[in-house]
Amino acid sequence: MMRTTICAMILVAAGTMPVQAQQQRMNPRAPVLRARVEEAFLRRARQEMALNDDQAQRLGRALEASGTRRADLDEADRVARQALMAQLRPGIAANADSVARLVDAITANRVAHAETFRSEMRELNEILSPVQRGQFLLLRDRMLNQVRTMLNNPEAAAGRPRVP
Amino acid sequence: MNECERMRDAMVDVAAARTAWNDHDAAHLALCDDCRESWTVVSAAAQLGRASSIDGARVAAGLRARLVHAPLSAPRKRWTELAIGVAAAALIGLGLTSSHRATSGSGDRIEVPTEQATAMFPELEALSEPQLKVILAGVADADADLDGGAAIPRLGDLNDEQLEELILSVEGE
Repeated sequence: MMRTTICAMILVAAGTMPVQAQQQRMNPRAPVLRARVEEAFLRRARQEMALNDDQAQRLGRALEASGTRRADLDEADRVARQALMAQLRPGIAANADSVARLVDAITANRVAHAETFRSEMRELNEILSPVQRGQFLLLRDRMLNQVRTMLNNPEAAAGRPRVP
Repeated sequence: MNECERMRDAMVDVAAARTAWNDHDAAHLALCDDCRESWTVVSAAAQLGRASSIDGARVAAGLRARLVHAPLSAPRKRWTELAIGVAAAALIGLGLTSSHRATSGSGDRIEVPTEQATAMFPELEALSEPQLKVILAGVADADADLDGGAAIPRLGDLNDEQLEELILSVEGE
């Protein structure tokens, strides 16, 4: 039972390495572009929210910390979901214990993901005023909504501007 | 499932900081040599995954080779160590894939450029370069809005025809 679960996750994790390497080859400048997006976002947040130097630095550190937490959760979720899909392949009997374990892990992961949002807002409460916190919430949601739209929209996914 | 199996089952999650040992587990680790050795390997692998530059394939291969050739007291122990070793290799992979990283042109050597040291928005990881450029343009345009420059395009945004019109207007023709 335990071995089956671990082996499934190992195979999935091992399989991610070539995929990630391929993505890297296809998008060699993506890391730099991501860094530039983050810089531009922080610059805009600083302007729009009228942050002082201390607030800007602390905001950056808080966002990095919560971003790292979310990245870890996203990765764990992706691995668990792929392991679950591997378990539920048609024509192959799934191991019920492994499936239950994976479903529990995915569920716990999603709760933890929501919890990162709460803890981030709690942390920002010590850095930003209530108004700034509200501005930040809208600012970030706007960008992340654009990201989600882009991922769901084939036109935008190709990087082409959408017809207004 | 006995206590040792339960402990080993939990090691991957604890190493990934998704959970923590409770007092009972800690007491077991203090008393059980096998579990303590397994935990040492798994936790060390998790730490390695967070390092900045690791040849994941080489480390995993070396670990597997070492476990295969190490003297073993019993078949069960051999299987357990192999499983832990491969799990450790997987943890390395997980750690590496969860951090920002880039692969060099050949082989699987993994390096972390300084430009990608920050990770405020892991959601951006799923985007391609063209998509990232669109997002960047959106944020940059917002910067221009805040500066009162919403109506002022950048020269780089203009096509040839627009540039010619601009030159003509500047030259007064």
